[in-house]
Amino acid sequence: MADRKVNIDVVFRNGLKDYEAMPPHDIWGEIQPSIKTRFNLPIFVKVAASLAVIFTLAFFSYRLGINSAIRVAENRSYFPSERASLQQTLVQNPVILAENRTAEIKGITYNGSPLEAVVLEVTDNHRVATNEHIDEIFIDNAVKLFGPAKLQDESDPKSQYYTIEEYNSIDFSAQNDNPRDRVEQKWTIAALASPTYYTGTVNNGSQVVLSADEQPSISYAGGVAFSYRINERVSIQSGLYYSNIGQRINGISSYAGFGPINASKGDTPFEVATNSGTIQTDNADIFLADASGTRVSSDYSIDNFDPVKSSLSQIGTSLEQSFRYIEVPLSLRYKVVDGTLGVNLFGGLSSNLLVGNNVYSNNDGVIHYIGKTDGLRGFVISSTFGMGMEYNISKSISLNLEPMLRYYLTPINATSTGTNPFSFGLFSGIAYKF
Amino acid sequence: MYGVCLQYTGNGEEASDVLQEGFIKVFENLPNYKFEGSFEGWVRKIMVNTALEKYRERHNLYRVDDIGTLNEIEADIEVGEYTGMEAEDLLDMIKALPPQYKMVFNLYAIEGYTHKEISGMLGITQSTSKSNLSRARTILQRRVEACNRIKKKVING
Repeated sequence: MADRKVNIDVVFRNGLKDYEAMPPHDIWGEIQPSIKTRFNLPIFVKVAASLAVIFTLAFFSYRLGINSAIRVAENRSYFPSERASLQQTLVQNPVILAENRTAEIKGITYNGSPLEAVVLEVTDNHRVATNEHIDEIFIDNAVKLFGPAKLQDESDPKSQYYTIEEYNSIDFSAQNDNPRDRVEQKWTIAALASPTYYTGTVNNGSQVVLSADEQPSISYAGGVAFSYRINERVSIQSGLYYSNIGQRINGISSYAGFGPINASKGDTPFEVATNSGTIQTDNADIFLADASGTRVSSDYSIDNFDPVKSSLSQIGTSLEQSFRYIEVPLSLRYKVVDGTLGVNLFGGLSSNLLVGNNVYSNNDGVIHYIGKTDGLRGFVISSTFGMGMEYNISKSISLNLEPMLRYYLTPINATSTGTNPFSFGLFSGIAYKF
Repeated sequence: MYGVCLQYTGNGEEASDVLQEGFIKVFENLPNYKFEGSFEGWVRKIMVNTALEKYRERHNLYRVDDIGTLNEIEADIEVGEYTGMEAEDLLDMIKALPPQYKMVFNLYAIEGYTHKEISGMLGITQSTSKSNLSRARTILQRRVEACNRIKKKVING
């Protein structure tokens, strides 16, 4: 048979692809005590994740609950222990009291016929009853509605109730915005946190080449928001947020132990060109080597100095730029859907004050400080736009989920590169109305 | 993953060290795992990086001087009727390579890094990386051919 060629690389790559070997058993025992307790997730992540879970559970329990009609159809009295849960259920679900049936709630017996055999919808939207007033619904064969139309004379209890005929003729869609229920709550304070995804646009075309090795990183934002309701639909919002955005620059290796060599030459700093500005090292012990040969500039380079031969130890394979801002937003919020699950749109501007500017070397998440990014503006303006969803767990408290897009109107750096970042965040939190 | 560690080290003891340190890094850095690519790939990368660190720590002990540079040779070789190799045999051949050849061959042929990337990782020039790869291939080719001849003899009687 004729000889044939094989590719030695492929022989080894394929031959070892699925190769498994059992390590000595004692290895696993030694790993356990060596692991440090470093599983502390950032607090923002914990808060955001907890709120997202709460929101999801609350939303689904609401959706499932609204679809299950409860029939009070048994001709019997309810024990005290059953009443509490029945009352709770009555508030949240439509109740059908069947004809020729009776039910006793809070000590009062209700008949299913003839006049009380109506379908009584006890829902939040109609605001017919609350938990405390469930036993007042059928007084004198009438339905109580907490609306202003029947409250002209509070000294006459009869005037507070609608008759069955009046009740059936009410257009509830027009009654939904009952001002009596909400007139007092003008202010809202909310605590929100979010993981954010940051990336940027570069204005100067010649710098785009740098973008190839620049990778957006997931960062975090959080803070407190205040809003004031101007009218039923519109509110104005401000607050105080802390945000951390940044990016990773791949292909730049960092070595420690350069201090003694550097000092003898007069502490030469390294400069690294990035779209966000030039990184200047201020840690004299660090040597930077650039795989592409285009970013790092210094008196030293990988061509005239070998960090490995000089026994420097490698501490990173990429750089992390971190910019921290304090934000004061001013935005308008428009309520699109009102109800237990509310939806609103918001947009506005934010003033951002730079409070942190650090660059770190990174090796699989282990970071070391090496310097700062030059040319960043201390103050920038950003625009925000988003959609807010709020689930009202009571009249005063709601859980919020707000996808938000932010675009920096002024470049974050004062150099000719001109980077306008934008970020996307999914804010979640809790709000209190008063 | 122990197999990967064996590939990058000369013996079981070093491989155990790399595996142990590698897994500690995996557990410590789990919060930093970004869910980009497979988890197995991420763990493998950490193992390879750990092996590289170990190599760099000890590089002075078994540094291979560049005996001139060698042009990169073709990876395709004539080995007669190639009968296939057991993974154990292939692993033994890699383990027996000089450390720097072993590193360059693993990083280039198995992991798929470029000479430019390897030069940054090992602190060597690109031409040295190419030269090391050529020497590694030459050695491995000879061993594969020899192993193949023995196999054919056994099969043909």
